[in-house]
Parts: sequence; structure tokens; C-alpha cells
Amino acid sequence: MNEVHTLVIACGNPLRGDDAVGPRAADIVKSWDAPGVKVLVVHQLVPELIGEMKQVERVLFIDAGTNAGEGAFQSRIVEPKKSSRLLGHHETPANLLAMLRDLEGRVPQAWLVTISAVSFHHGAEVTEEARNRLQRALAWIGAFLGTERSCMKSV
Amino acid sequence: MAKRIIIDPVSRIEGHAKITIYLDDHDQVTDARFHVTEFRGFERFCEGRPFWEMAGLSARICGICPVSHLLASAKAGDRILAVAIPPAAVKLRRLMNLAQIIQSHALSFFHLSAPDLLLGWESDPAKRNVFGLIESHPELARGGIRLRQLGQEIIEALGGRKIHPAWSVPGGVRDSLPTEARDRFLARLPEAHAVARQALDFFKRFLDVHTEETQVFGNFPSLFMGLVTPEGDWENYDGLLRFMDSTGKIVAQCDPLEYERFIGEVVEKDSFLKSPYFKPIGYPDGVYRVGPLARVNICRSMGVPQADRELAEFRQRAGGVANASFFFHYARLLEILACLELLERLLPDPELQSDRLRAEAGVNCLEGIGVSEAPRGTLFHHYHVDKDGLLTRINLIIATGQNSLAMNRTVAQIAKHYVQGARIEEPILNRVEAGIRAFDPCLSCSTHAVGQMPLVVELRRTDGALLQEIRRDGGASRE
Repeated sequence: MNEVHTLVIACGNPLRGDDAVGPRAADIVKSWDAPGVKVLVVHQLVPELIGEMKQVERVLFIDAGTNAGEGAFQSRIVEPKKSSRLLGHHETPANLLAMLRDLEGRVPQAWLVTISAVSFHHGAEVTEEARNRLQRALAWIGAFLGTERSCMKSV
Repeated sequence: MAKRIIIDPVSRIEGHAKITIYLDDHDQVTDARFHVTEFRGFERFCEGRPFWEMAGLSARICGICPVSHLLASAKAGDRILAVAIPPAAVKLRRLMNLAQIIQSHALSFFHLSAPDLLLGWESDPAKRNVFGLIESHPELARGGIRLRQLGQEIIEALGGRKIHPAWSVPGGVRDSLPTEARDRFLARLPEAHAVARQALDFFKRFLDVHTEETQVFGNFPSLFMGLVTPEGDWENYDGLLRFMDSTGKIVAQCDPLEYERFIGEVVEKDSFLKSPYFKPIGYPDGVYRVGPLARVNICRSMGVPQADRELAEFRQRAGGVANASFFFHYARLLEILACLELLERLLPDPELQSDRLRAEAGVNCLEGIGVSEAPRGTLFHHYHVDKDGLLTRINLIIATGQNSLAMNRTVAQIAKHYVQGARIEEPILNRVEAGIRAFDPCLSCSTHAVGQMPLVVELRRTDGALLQEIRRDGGASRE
């Protein structure tokens, strides 16, 4: 079995319309069976995810959002940042990284892919626009997972 | 003219709510209210669905404690089928409920309340959070995360996922526990025990020097309700429903299926929470509390040795029955320890790997009631179905709703003690909120009734004179 170096955390609710693009992306990434890549699907980001995150060199968060700008999706590096709001039942990628840094003294490199969503209405139907955007995001994710591994940052 | 101070939203709880504090002409607090401002409506929109779907549907009520709804719903379904489920299925359901209690209590104590206790109510609000906890007590913060992870992973191993596992069904459960997972969890129990002990030791040291909190954080007589075994010991899945008063006297005990003899429900005009009360006393005086504090108060014993030793000390510190809502935190830690001991006892049972997991039957009863203990308290699912198994009536009684009258009293007591004048400073605001957080309310779970809360819109002049009142419940509009 390959050592896991990359963790993909896909976030979303498959019963809330385009919010399902994260879990759908995860299903496809899993089917690639990429060596050293572990895929998790979660409804929301919760503190105990740092237990998985601390084991790997890099983390890729995938989520749906309405804040991804004009394009089909947005990819960006995530740095640890303590949120001004209080920790509770759901978290942000930056906050999780900050928790991990403060507890373990180091963090994996992290990226967030936000796929542009049109509708978060109840139901399992994903809009055609979001499905198309997911395909474009998957091209980026495939290239990302095929790239050379980065080194763990020490902080 | 009377004045109000409004805290909106209340932070570090699950859901959306606000608190109103009422002041008289001399700026003295006269009353305080906790209002739930979100609305869900599961009781109504699930009508017409097959009862078979209800476990999966009602688990969607909450992403925090879906297991509780899953179990209560499946138990109601067992009644409609009129079956006794296989013994292995009972043990597996119990296992999942223990895991649920551990993970939920760990989040409540370590992440939501510990920053107040460890860093102080007056500490810098920017640091009074989990990051401040990590900075000052990294081992406790790490341990809390590990405890929650253990509970979540047991749920995932049984149900296939951590959130909304469609695993417990009418008649039993879908899958057993793999031996690989059993061994993994057994290996992690010593570490979990150490975390629970560390947190208990910390909390007891805290109590030694913070006696004021135990006196003013919701310290009032009320009834306590929860499940107990037939012998009167701590229970979380089955058994008898017990009501105890603040002196330790058992005032009622019954089969949980007879709950309507003792529990009535009202809807107060300013909250989407239903407010259950003890029928023999009536509303509003029939206040009772549920959840860890109630369960620990009403039981004869925890049924496991380490937790029993802690229970003896708990009662010694409380002076008998613990009436202060602040002791919810203490009871939560005691229950984590008990659940870990019960896991240690249950996990090696070979029946957890059985393939006899589900009783098959059709609709044999037109009514089913399922009762179990959620982390926050006793949970009731009550269904009526037609001959085809389609739901015709649903009633859900949720822990947070049952604590709503007690939460009002808690907030009022804290406000009367700490609020001086018409201005409220941040540390005082935080203490008022902390009174609510002691109950660890889950508002997503507790706001399902439709059409019961009269929606009132008032149109007033700036001088306070009422111009128009419009009621949604068919009442007359008046001017």
C-alpha cells in the first residue's frame, strides 16, 4: 500500500443542489485511484479533521461556493489563519490549518478549489452549469494530483 | 418605561437564537427569555411518507446528533412492525449511541465551554476560543479532538459515514462491526480514558475555586427526567422513564411508551421551541430538566466502577441532587467516562460481528413510539401510520425543547445576579450566554412544530402605543 501524502477533503451536502459538486468531485477523484492520495467526503469541516491532515504533506479542499468569481472555479493556496469567529460545529480551511499549526507546530501545504454554484435548493439535482464547471475543475485537480509533491512546511 | 437588552445571536451554540433581558424603571432585571428564531418543520412535512423512510429523514434533522434521531426513529419503527429486534442489533445500536454521546459531549466541553472555564469569562474575547485553549492547555485541546474523533470513527465504522448514517432501521440494523475496527477502537480506549480523567480532574479543581458559578448559574429546584434501567441505574437506550424532584424523591416512573401521561407540551409565543412540562404539576410550574445532569441525578448507579466512584464525588460536591445547571459540564465529563467504560465492556462481545441483525415484518401496529437518550436528553419519536405504513401524524419531543423552561430560569438568574443597570458589558454578556451553553442546546433538533406558535406582528408608535396587532393563527387583527 502506498504511503498517503495528499489528502483531498471534499465538502458538501448532496441533497442541496449544487452543493453536491464537492462530493461528486470526490467520487471521480477516488475512481482515479491515484497513488498516495486519500479522499474524504464531509458535510462540513470539523475540528477532528486535523487528525487526518497532520499525516500528509498537502491537502486539497474542494467545495461549492458563490464566491468563486467569474470563472468556472477558483483555486488558491490557503494559509493558516485564525478566524475571528468562535470555533464550533463547522470550520474553514484556514482555521483548521491554524489549529493544526498551533497544536502540532507544522502544517501541510493547502489549496482550496471553489466550484461556482448556481443553486443550493433542496434536492439531488445539480444544475447543468455546475456540472460543466465541475468538469473544468476536475481538469485542474487531475493536473494538481499529478504534479510533483511539495515538501512539508515547518512553521 | 420597561427596557430590554437583547443578545442576538447567542454564540457557540448549535442554531440561531436570541435572549431578551427585561429591566424595570430602576434598571433592575425583572425577567429574561431565551428565544429560538429558526424554524424547521419536520413534524409536518414528513407526513405522508412511508415510516420506513423516517429513520433516514429524521437523521437529517441534525448534523451534530443524527444518531439519536436514527435510533429513536428506528425504535418507533420496531413498534409499528411489532417485532423484538435481534439481540446483536440491540448491542450494535447501544454501541453507536455510546459513541454519539462521547463525540457530542467532547465537542460541547472541550471546544465550546472549556475556553470560558480555562481562560475565564473576563478574558480577552479574541482569545477566549479554542486557539486560546490550544495556547494555554494544548494537551487538553488535543485530547478533546481525539475523543471526538474516536466517537465519530465508531459511528462511521458502523454506519458507513460519520454524518447521517442510514444504518439503524425498523427491525434492526444494516451491518455489524468489523473485527478490524473493533481492535482499532479497543487499542485507543486507554488514551481516551486518560483524556476523560484529565478533564474531570481539571473541572474539579475549577469547582474548588469557583463556587459562585455553582450558586448562580441556574441553581433552582426542578424535576429531572431520563431513562433508567429496571434496577434504577444509568441508561441511554431503553428502560424506564423516571421523574425525580430536586430532593431526590422519585415522583413518577413509567414505561416510556406511556410518556403522554406525564408530559404535556405548550408553544410559547416568542420562540419556535416547544416547551414540554410535567403534566401532574402543569404549565409553567412543571419545569423539568433532561440531559446529562438529569441522567446523573436520577440514577442509582452508573453501572461501571470508575464512573461510580466519580458519581459518589459528584453527589458529595453537589450536596445530593445537583440543582445548579453549571453541573451539566461536570455530568457531561462523568458520562464520557461511563461511556468509555461501557465501550470497553461491549466491544469484545462476539455478537457485534453477528449476521443476524434484522427482524422482517410488515405493518402490524398503526402507532409506534421510540424513546432513547440523545446526548442532550431524552428523545421521543411518536408516529401514527395508516395500514400501508404512510405517516399520518408525527410528534417529536426533543431534549432542547424539554430544557427550554429551565433555560429561561437559568438566564434570568444569571442576569439578575450580574447585570447592573441598562448597559451590559462583554464579560457579563458572555456569562449570560454561558448559562445557555451549559445546556448545550441544539436548536436544529428542536424546532419542528408547524402552526402551533401564533405569529404575532405588532405595529407600535415610537411612544409604545399599540397601533395594530396581526395574528397568523386566525385571531382577529385589532387596532
